Amino acid sequence: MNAYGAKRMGFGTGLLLLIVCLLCVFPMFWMILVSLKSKALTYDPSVWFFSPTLENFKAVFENRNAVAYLRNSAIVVVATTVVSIFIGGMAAYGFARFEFKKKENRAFWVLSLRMLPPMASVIPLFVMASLIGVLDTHIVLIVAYMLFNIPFTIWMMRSFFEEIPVALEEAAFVDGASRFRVFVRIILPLAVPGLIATAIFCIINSWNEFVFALFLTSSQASTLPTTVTLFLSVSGVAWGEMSAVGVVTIMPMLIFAMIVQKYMIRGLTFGGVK
Amino acid sequence: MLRQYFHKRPHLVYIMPAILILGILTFVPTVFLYGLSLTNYELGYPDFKFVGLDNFVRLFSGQDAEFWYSVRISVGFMLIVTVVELLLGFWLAVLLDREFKLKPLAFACLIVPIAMTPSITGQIWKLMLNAENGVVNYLLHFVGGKVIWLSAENAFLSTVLVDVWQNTPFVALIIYAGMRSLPSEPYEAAAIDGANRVQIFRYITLPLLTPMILLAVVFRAIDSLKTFDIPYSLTQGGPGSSTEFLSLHVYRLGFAQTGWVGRSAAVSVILLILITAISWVLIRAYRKGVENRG
Amino acid sequence: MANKMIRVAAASVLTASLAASLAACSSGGGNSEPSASSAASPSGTAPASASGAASGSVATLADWGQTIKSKYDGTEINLAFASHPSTDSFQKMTKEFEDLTGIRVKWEVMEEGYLKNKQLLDFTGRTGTYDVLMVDGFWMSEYGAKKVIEPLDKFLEDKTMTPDWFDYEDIVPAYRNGISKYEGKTYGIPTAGETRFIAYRKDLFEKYGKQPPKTMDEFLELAKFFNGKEKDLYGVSMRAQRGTHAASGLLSLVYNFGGGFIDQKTGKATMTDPKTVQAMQFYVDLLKNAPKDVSSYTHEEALSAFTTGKAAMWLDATALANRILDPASSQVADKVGYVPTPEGPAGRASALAGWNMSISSLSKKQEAAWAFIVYMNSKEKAKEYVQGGGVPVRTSVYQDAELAAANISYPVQLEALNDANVLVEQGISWIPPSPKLGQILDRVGYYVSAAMFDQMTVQEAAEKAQKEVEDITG
Repeated sequence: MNAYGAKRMGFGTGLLLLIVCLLCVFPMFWMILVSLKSKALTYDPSVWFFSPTLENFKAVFENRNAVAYLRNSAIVVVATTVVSIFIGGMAAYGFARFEFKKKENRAFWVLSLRMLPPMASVIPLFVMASLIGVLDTHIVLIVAYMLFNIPFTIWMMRSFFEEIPVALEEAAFVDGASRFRVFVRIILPLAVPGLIATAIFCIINSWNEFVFALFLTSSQASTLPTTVTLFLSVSGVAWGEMSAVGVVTIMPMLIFAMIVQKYMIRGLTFGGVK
Repeated sequence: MLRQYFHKRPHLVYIMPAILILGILTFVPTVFLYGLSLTNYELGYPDFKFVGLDNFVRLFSGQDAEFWYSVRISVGFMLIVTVVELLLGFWLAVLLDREFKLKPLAFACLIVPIAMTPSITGQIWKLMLNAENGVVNYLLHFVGGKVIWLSAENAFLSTVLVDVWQNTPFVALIIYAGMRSLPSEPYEAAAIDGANRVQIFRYITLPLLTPMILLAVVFRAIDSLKTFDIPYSLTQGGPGSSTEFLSLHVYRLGFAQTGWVGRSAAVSVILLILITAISWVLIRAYRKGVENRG
Repeated sequence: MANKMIRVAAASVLTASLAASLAACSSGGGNSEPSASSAASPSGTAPASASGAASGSVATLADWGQTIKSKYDGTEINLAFASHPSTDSFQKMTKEFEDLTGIRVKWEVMEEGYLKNKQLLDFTGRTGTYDVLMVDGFWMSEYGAKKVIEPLDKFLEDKTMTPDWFDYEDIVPAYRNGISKYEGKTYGIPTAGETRFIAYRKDLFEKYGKQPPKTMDEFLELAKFFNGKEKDLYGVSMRAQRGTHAASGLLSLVYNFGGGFIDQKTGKATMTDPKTVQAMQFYVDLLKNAPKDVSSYTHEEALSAFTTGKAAMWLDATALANRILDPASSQVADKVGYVPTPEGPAGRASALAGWNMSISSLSKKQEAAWAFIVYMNSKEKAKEYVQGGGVPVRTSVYQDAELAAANISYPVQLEALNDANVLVEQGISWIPPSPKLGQILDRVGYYVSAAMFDQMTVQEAAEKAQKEVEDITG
C-alpha cells in the first residue's frame, strides 16, 4: 500500500470528511423528506419534523403508473447489460489476446463511441426506429444502450483480461480444448470481479439514461428517468409526487451500489493501473 | 474459404459481433445526420429540400445568434467543471487515503451522487435552489444570505454547482483507487534518499497518478461537454439563453418549440466534430500516460 | 377569401351570443335558463337525426351510452394530455365514462412543452399511439397544416355522433372560432378557454387611494407607483421568459396598441410597425417594475410572485384565477380584485387562447375517441366538469348562478371575453394564424427578452425580429 508515512485521522480531517459526506447525502435526504410531506408542507423548507404521510407514494403508484415505469426500467437494464457484457466481453478478449493490424486504432475508435453525444444520434435513431417500427418498445432502448455499454465493456474488460496469465489458457490448449471453450470455461470465471465491476457501471448508466428514453419511447416502454417531465403543470410542480418518484427511481440503484461497493471501487481504476 | 479467412484472423470471431453492432448503430445514424444537416427538414412535414450548406452558413455567419453563445458556454462549462471537479476530487482522495473505522460509511455517502439519476438530480436541486421556498436559501437566511440561484446571472453557476455535486465523488474515487494501487518501491527508495513530503508528492505520486488523473479528465471533459440531463431538468436552458448548452440548443431548435430538424442536425454535426476532436486529443494523452508508466 | 368570410360570420355569431349572455348575466342574477343561442340549437337538429337513427337512440346520455357500448365495448383509447386543472377534472370523470360506454381510457399526462414534442414525434414516427390529443390553441394552425389532427366537421354534422345534449353552439363562440379552427375547418373542441385580465391587490390600492387601471398609461403609472412602495413589493408580475413566454406576454398587450406580429391578411411580418414597436417598448418599460428575475418567469412564476404578495398587479390568464382565489395556494386570496386588460391607444382588446381536444389523424379508433370527446365536453356534464376544477368554455356555465357565486372573477372574465370579441369583429385572430407560429413566437420572444436585458434597444430588437420573422414566413 501507500508507503510514505502512516497517515492518521486528525480531528480536522474527520470534520472535513463529515461535512463532505453530509453534502453528498443531503439532496437525497431532502428528497425523501419532501416525498413524505403532505401537500401543504412541501413548499415550506422550515418544516423538518412532521408526521410523515405516504400519500405521495400512493399517488404515484395509483395514478402515475410507477410500477409500469419500474418494470420497463428493469427489463431494459437487465437485457442491455447481459447482452453488452457478453458481446463486449468477447471483443475485449479479442483485443487483449490477439495481435492484429490497426489494433490500437480500432480500440480507439471503439472507445470514442462512448463519447458520442446522445443528442446528436437520437434524431437519426428515431427515424431509423420508426422505419423498422420499433419505436416505443423495450428492444429499441436495449439496442440503443448498447451504443455506450459495449464500448465501455470492451475498454474495461480488456485490461482485466490482460491481467490473466496467458499460461493458464495454454495449459488448457494442451489438454485439447478449443479457444472459445477456454474463454467460456476458464477466462470468464477468472474475470468475474472485472465483469461485476463492468456490469455495475453498465447498470447504473442504463438505469439513469435520459435522452434516448425521452425520445424513443412513450406510453409503452418509458423508463423511470423520463418521469421528471410529468410533474410540471399549470397548477404548480407537484413536488411531493415528483420526490416520491425520485425516491422510487434512485433507491434500487443506491441499494445496489451499496451492496457492490467493493467491486465498484476496484473497477474505478478502469484498467488505468496495470 | 470463409473458414480459412477466419482461421487466419482468429481475433475476428471475437471482435466481429461488437464491431458489427457498433458499426450499424453509429455509421448509419452518422451518415443520416450529415444528410439531414443539408436539408430544411421540419418536424411533422412529409417533404423537404436539400439546401446545401445553408444551415452551416447560417451558423457561421452569426445569423443564429444563440449558436456561438452556446458554443462559448459549453466549452466554458467543460473547462470549469473539469478543473473544479479535478481539484476537489484530488483533495477528497487525499483525505480518504488513510485508515479509519467508518471508511465504508464514507464511501457509501460518496456513492450517493454517483448513483443518482441526473435528471432527478436536476429536479431535486431545482426544488432546493428555489429562491423563495428552497431549503438552501432557508439555511442561508440564518447567516443573513439570500441568493436568486436560478436567475439569469446565477443559473450558469448553479448548473456548475449541481454538476460538481454529482460528479466530484466519481473523480475522487477514481483518483483514490489509483492512489491505493501505487507500487511501494519508489517510496521506499525515496525514504532512503531522505526526500521530503513535497518532493515525494511532486516527483513520485503525481507522475504515477498521471494516468488516473487523465482518465478522470477524459470522462469529465467529454461528459460535461455533452451535458443535457441536468440543465434540462434544472433550468430548461434558461433563463434567457444563460444555460443553453449545445445539447440543449440542438433540442430546442429541432424539437418542441420550432421543429427545425435540419438546422438542429447542423448544430449536432458541429457538436459531434467538437467532441471527436477533444476526445481524440485527450484519449491520446491518456494512452501516452499509461504507456509511459508502463 | 373564404377565411375572411368565416371570420365575419364568426364575428356576428359571437356578438349576438355575448350580448345575450351579458344581458342574461346582468338582468337575471339567479337566472340559469338557457340563453337565446343555446335554446335555438335544437330546432336545426331534427331532420339530421333521422338519417342515423337506425343504429340506436342517442337522445339522452343513457341511451347514447348504450349505443356506444354496443359498438365500442372494450376498445382502448390512448390520450396525450397536458398537466392542467381541466385534465385533473376529466380524470375524475373518467370512471363514469368507462362504466357507461365500456371504452377503456389510458391517460398520459405531461408538461406542455414535452407534450407537443411527444405528439409531433408520435406523428412523425407514424406510431399512432394516441387517439385523443389535448392541443393548445397556439398549435392549431401548425397541426392543421401538418395534418397531425383530423378535421372534426364530419363528426359534428352527424347527429348520431354528436347528440343534442352535447350542444356545440353553447360553447362561447369566441373560443369555437378563435382557438380551434384552421383554414375554416374545425380541428378541435375547446375544453379550457382563457382570456387575460388583471388581478390587483385591493388592500394596497385602498391604502394608497388608487383606482385600478383603465388605460395602458395608468397601468404603467401604477406599476411604477407600487414598485418598491413597500418592502419586497414590486409593481407588476407577468410572464416574460425568453421564447414563447415573452412573446405571449407581449401578445397580451400588442393588439391594444394596434400592432401585431404578422399582418393577418397578407401574412407578412409587421414587427417594425411603429405600433408594434410602441407595444414592445411598453412591455419592456412595464417589466422594469417587476421582480428582478422576471426574465425567467413563465405563467407559473408570475403567478406565484403575485400569490405570495410580491406584486401589486398581475396580468395573465383567466384560467389561473382559481389559484389566486384558493386560500390553500394563495396568501392574497381575500384581497384581490379583477379588471379587464386596460384600454390602449387602439382601444380595447383581450386575449383569446385555450386548449382543445382533438383526434389524432393516425388514430384507428376515431369514433371511440370522438365518443370520449362528446361525453367530456358536453353541456350535460359541463357543471360537473367545472366543479371538478375544470376551466369553463360554455356560456351556460358562465351564467350559472351557483358557479358564478363560487368564483368572483366570472363577471370580469365575461367582460374580458367581450373585449376579445373586439378583435374578432376586426377580423383579427388573437393567436396569429400561421402554421409557423411556434417559430415566430420563439424568435420574437428571443429579441423581446434581449431588449429587456438591455442587450439592444427596442428598435433594434424589432428590426432583428422583423428579419427573422420574414425569413420564417418567406
